[in-house]
Amino acid sequence: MSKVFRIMKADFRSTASVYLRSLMMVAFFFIYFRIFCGGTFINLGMLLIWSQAIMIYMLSMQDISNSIPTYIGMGCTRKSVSIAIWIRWFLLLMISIGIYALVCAILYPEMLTIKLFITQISTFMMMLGLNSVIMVIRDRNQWIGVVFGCLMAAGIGIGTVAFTKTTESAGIIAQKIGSVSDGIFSTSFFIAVAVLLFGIVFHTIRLKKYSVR
Amino acid sequence: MKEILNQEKSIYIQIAEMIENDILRDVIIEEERVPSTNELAKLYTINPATAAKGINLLVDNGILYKKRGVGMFVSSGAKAAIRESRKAEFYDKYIKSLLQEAEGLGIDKAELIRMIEKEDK
Amino acid sequence: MSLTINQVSKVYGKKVALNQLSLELEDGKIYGLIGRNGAGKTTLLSIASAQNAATDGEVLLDGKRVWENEEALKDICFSREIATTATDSRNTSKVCEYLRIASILYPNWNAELADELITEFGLDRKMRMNKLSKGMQSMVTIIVALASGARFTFLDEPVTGLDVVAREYFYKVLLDEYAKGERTFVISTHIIEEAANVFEEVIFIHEGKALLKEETDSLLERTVHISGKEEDVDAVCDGKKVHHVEKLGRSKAVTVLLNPGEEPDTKGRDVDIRPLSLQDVFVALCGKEESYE
Repeated sequence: MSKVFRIMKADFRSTASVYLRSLMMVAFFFIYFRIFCGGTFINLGMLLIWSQAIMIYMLSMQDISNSIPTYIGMGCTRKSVSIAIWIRWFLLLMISIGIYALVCAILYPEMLTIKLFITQISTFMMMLGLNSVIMVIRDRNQWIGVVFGCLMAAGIGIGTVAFTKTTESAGIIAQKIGSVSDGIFSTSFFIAVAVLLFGIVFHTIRLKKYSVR
Repeated sequence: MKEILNQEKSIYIQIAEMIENDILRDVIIEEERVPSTNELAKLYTINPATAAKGINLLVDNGILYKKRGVGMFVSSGAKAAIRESRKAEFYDKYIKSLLQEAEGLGIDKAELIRMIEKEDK
Repeated sequence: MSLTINQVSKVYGKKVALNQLSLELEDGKIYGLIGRNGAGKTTLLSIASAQNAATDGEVLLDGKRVWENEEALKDICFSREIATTATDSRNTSKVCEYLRIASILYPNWNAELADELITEFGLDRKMRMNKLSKGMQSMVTIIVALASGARFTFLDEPVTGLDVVAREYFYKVLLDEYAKGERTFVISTHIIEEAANVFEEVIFIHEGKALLKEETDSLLERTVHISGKEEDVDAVCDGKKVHHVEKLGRSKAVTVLLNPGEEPDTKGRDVDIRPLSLQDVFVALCGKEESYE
């Protein structure tokens, strides 16, 4: 276990720098929307989803091209690298949700509901799972990976637009989630968990025979 | 100390010869410590095992002896011993090849002696 | 402690990089790993350090497999240029950051030595990895390898791009580190001549196989270059395997590997017998046969 801890310690700075960069990007857009578009709760929610997508993508890229080869090249086992990475994702998920809760509590306290958080967590897991699959494919064959990545990005984009169109003003998003039946809600949550698990399994299998080139 | 190593002979033999040369020229005097294997290895950028082989060769010939925990020292009488053995080698190494080369060039003994005497003056 | 490479093969697609290669590395030596480009040196070292999976065979450290073995990997370091050349990698981390990671991941890291080497090489800590020149990359690789403190340390062409002063310095620090005892180095290089005296043993890799593993001294002692008139050389070499035959007019020159302790028997023939340098021995054994008729 100590090796996993060492890897996380070694990884801390680069993760933090990528995370802060993605956070800064979001903060910039958020301020921009607040000033020029009259920032709404929807803007905040969508921005967060996008920021997570960007952050997950940037970090995964760093993992695959830098961190994983470096750590394995320095005598770490694939298993401990894998464990360290997934622990890190879990911690990042917690931090992201924490920040979301904080901003929400300051700006839109009336929107803070459990269901909303679960929606956030689901999107995070969903994106992480899909992203892991993309990264694995991308590592094998760059072009298929890129096509997959674009499809996912398009999916999120279309989803975002569709979602915004159907919820015309601030506050409706929360009502929408609130009015979604518990059945649909928990199904989508479980789908997210399944996608995440799929990503973990896919990633782990790939890493099992990983070679430093 | 530092002479340049060449590839005509094994490195360890060259190391041994260099230490002998130093003893002959009083660079290292009798009952004095000689450089350690690691010092030699670093100076000549050679493997310490090779340097050790050279030193051991001299220990076997009684030129050096080991003081436990201190290092290798030059035996008393080493200089004379080196001279003796070099003299013994001298005939094989120089005279024989000199005669061989002279024969090939058609220089006879009388001429050879004349040449040596000329060098004397 | 010893590292055993047991019948290791590696196949990339259709290309066979290593072909059932077996090798035993003992503790406390400096090995020179010599082979032509594409002979399988890097593949061998990366499999021996479990950075790469073997297609077949196994690598054992004291009888235990090194693959995914945290305990064994503590004692092995294969420092190489990582991720500076990967297709889409932009390794923008700074030199000091890369070394910080190494200092965390290697349990026996020698920070003092690392600092000394950085100063001596004149390396800029603030420089980014992807901006380093070839020589600077070699410096970083060397620093990681020497400061790692690992029992078995592999260096893959560590002196590429280094100037002659830096190379000399590297060999001195290597010998210094080696003199402290307990460490084994395997160094692959194309600049054979300047490293030959540093290697206690040499390993020749040729076409994915270990052609030879022998003490440098004894290999050089038993390899001779015989030249003279063709029939004289043929008579002297009768019954011996000759390598690297060169002919020019009536003269012929060959390289012969004698058995240990054997003296060449000139049989009264007039031939020149000369010792060879390690580089010449390598060319004779692994180079292309050339003859001028």
